[in-house]
Amino acid sequence: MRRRRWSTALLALALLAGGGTIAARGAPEGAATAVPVGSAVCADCHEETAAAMANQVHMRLAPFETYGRPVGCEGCHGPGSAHVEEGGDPALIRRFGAGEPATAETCLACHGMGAAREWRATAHAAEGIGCESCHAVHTARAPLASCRECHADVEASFRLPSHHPVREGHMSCASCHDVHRAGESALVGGEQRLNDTCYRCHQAMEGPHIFEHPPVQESCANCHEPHGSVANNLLVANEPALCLQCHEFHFHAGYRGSAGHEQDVGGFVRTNPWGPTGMNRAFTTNCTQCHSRIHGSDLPSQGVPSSGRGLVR
Amino acid sequence: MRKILFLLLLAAFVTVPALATDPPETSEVELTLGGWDASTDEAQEVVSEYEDTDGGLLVGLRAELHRAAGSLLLSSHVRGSAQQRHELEFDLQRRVRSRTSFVSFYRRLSHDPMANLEATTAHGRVVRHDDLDPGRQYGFDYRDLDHRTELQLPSLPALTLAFTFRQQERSGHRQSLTISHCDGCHVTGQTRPVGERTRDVGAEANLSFPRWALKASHTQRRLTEKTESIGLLYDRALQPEQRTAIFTNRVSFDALNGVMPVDLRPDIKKEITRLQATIPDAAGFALNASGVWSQTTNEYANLDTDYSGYLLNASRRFGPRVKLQWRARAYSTTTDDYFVDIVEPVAQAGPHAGRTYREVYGYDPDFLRRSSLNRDVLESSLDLGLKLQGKAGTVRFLWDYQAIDRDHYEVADGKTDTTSHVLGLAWNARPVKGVRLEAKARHGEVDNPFMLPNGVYSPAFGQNAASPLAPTSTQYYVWRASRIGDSTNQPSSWTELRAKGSVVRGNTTASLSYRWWDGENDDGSLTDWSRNSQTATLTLWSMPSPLVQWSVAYVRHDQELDFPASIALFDG
Repeated sequence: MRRRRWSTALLALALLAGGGTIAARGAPEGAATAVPVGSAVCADCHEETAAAMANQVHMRLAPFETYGRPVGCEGCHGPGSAHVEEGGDPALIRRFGAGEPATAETCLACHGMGAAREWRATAHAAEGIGCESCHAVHTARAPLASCRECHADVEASFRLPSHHPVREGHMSCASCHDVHRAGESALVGGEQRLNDTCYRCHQAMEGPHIFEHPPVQESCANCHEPHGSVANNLLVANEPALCLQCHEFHFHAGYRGSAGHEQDVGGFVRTNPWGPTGMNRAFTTNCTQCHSRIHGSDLPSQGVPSSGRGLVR
Repeated sequence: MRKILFLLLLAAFVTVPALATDPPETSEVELTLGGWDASTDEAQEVVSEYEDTDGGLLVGLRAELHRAAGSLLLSSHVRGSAQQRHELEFDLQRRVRSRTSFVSFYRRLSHDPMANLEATTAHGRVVRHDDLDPGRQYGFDYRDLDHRTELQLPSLPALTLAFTFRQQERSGHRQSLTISHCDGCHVTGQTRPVGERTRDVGAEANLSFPRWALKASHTQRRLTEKTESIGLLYDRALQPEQRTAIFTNRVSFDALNGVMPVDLRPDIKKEITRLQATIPDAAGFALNASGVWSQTTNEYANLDTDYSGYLLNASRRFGPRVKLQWRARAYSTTTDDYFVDIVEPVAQAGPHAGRTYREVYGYDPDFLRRSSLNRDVLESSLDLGLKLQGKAGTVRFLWDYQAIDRDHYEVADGKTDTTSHVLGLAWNARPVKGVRLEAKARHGEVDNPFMLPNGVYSPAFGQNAASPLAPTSTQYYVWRASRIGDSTNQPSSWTELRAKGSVVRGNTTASLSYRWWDGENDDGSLTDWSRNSQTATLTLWSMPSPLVQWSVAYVRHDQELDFPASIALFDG
């Protein structure tokens, strides 16, 4: 009985609260008494726009999705009767200008409780970027095209030799960035840590592993440049320079090799194609040839003196 | 009661009219046919890392169907067998809304011939390699299926339920390198099957009212490696020149242990729970508060990482010109400790025969692994914007603060904490329509940036070990003390300047940007680290028609990295 009361009360509360409406914001002066006329009336004069909008999701919204606000053209532009009666007077209908706060507020009336609930706290909002800067409400538009207008430097970095496949169309900016969210959350999954954005697709790097490489735990960005880099594997610098910033040169790295191209070692003939520079080339070229489990491992490496921490297995 | 609730929900779903006005019923089908060809030679994994180069047919299909009962959108692009993109969207009177996308492509991976790994010295020290699958082209197919279905009922408009599913798969082969040592250094390259599957299954509930909203979600992510780890028969640990077993107490295993597993990829499970509350207007402030809790489990090692984090952001306008944003986040992560018990064989020959490495040198290789991830972090970010008169744009003052308190990992002698402050000034304006200008300057100061204190030796860190081959030698101390002390690639002080400009004319955009970054680390150690980089880009992009677009970009990136390094004179 008690459970039933709670269930009924919750249902009633939900129905009541859901029935609330938001007053239309930014209605133009003089249109206060206007009433909705329906999108079909708008289409009589705005034929071209109406045709472009015919398949748009905005024209197909149901009233229960908009907190009781009108749907169709008047959902954004406000009730149109005064505008129609006065022969299309633009002062009697809500219009939108680039970057105007009213634009964002109109969109946020519906989207502010959904995907764009953090919009007001975003860097884009702080810079006065309005919804219409990226979204063309009346026509469809590719997201990357929107981003590149301001972030051309990032877009250009996808042309570097090592890059995420954005240029190829397999990913988009939105694969990692949620521009409607703020701060760390503007990275998809980043409301935890930056690394968690990367782990969404590269979970194999996450671990936790028995044998760690501490910069992996610290931040993927310590070693990787996510948009694009000259070095392979999106590294911020080529090996071994990347590694030598934290580690000293490997032992043996300074050794001079034999001058001859073949050397008898313990009764075996070993090749030595690089001559005196052989040891230098072996130990100062590519650290991950040996330390191949650089993101961590659960298997101990061979060496006892390194306590199995060599990240080579 | 359950039946009543179910009937209520069913009735609401079936009987309540969904659309106040009937949208037009339309159908549209678009078919694109084309072809492409590509020519590449050498290093395909560099110039065509993600692209099919075989050439062939390109097929695109887009179909839309809109009826009173709902809408259906289908989009497909196929380029060869590996490159595909499909999307399917539909709704049923807007009560059920569903979107599914599928992407697949082939990624080429590099194949290292390891040609540099051949060397001997007059003393017989050996470096060598074996590529067991020479000439093989490595790569994998990547497939990503992403799905989301929402349910919103007219009688319960405040509540939206969602089900999410994502599956990524990587299947193919890559090169796996493993080193065997103490019979010289012997790197073996093998072909490693890739059979990775990451599956996210989630449920979400959104409760939205005019004055507040609540969102709760739970996601389970599971990484499954469908292939077995590969094995390697390690070399017998014989001193390369003498061919004697004097080094067998230096390695935990060798050929006598048989084939050992290598390149193991553990299955990983992750549970993520999120809760977010939104109040768009609380005394003029827009507030968002959220909590995130997750647990990640390495199912092979039975290790857990727990995360709990809390975020708050508040923003408010003060009049028409001033805007304030503030964000804060606090989180902590904890990973299980793990005791590593190293197998310690005895030397089978030589002066140390019958004794372990520990018994000879007094070094205890066993240790309790305490994760460097364990930490408490506090962050705060302040953004104060001021809109200038006329078209002079907006100026913003920025202050970011971060304090990391690690549980175990020392970033400097006895110090586990890193504190950073970043101050910034930004300006952006649109002086005339279609022209956007931006400038930004930031300066950061970091106390104890991340570094590896024992990565290189300095008197402040590590031990003054003597050579086991020459116990009275002082060369270790003399030379190591002179090496670099800033073993990091992170600055303790940095400055960044950015400038950007873009002009949009119709469907054409021209952008120019410049970034200068200069950082250094001189935190009281023997030598300094510094990095300076400059990047300039020029981009032209145009879309003369919906079917044609082109872009040209020029990127100039200069970077100067300055850090001293030295090569050890001892022989290991």
